[in-house]
Amino acid sequence: MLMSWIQQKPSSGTPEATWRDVTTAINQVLGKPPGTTPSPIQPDALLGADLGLSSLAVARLAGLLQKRFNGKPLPFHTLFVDASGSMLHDISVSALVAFLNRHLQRDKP
Amino acid sequence: MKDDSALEPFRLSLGFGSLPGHTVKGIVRNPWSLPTFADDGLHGWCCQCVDEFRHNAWDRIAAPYILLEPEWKVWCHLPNAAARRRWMRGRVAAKDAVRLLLLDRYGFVAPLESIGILPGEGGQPRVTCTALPQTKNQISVSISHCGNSSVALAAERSEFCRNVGIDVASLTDNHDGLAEGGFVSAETALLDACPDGERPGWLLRLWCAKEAVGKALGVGLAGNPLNHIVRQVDLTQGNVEIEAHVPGAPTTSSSSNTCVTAHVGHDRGMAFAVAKQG
Repeated sequence: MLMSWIQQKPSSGTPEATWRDVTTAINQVLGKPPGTTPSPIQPDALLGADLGLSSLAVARLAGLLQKRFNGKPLPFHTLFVDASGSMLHDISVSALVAFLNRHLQRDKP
Repeated sequence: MKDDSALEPFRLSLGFGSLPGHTVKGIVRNPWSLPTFADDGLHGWCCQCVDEFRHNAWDRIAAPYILLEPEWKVWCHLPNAAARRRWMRGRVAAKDAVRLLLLDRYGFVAPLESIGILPGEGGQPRVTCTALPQTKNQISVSISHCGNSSVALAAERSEFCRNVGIDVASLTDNHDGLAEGGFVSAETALLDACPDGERPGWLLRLWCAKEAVGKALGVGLAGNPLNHIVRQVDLTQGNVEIEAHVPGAPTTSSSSNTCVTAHVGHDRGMAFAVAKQG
């Protein structure tokens, strides 16, 4: 099921499509397969504190999203650094979606 | 650790039978010897705690008896019941690991309530033992969680071991995406000699090694698993050499990177790694 989601045609890159890709990946990492009714994920939910993702799960999430976007390397590590260069211990789902939209938009021809 | 008679007093103090709500078993506690020794001289004491029964009411009743007041204050402010259960289970594992150390090294059966495990600098747990004040700052402890299980490793500080780190991960969980999200291709290529069936388990051990080294150095993964790069893997001995980047150190200087060897293995359905900061 997971592989079929990853192998579907690439995301259209719209904010809505990216949101769907991110929430699908989060549910996969949380062990909720596609087709089941996942718990609703709020945009301001924090990956660690609210959704309970460990660092291993966050790494998996990054890997799944990277595969979803055709293996394109994405600078996920920059997500955990704020504008002043300080380390962030947690990020929200909406921050992850915005990050992906930014980078996918930037690479559009 | 291998002399069962020496553990007898410790066993007697195991279990929460005397706590209110004693008819409900909350957490099963077991010493775990496999991750306590490594080729590089690491000698630690390790315990695993497993949830036998999830019951938030039991947690609320038991917490004041398991946690010291400062710990209890931290526990109360955790965001949800799952986080509180995990945190308390980790404290129990850490307190038991410290109690095993104190029994082995000092012949002292420490009551659970005499051991404090509080967040310290850089998130590393800080150990206090009111019954043995001479051990202040002398014990390093590290905690890891995996599913409904928590483990903790305790070790005495010395000039050869300033801090320890432990990490565990379930061998049965799905870890798809980890190779792409947690490693660069040069790291996964180190497993080319590994039989296909063993590769996923080894990948997980390499991940645990990164985490354990980050904990031992007090820097974690600093938001980027590629801060710590696997340089060598000894599949036979179970040793993994990690080049770790220490944030805050000047990046242009070679001193910002340090090499640490983690000892890895698997047991009880989990991959594990332990490391020390020498």
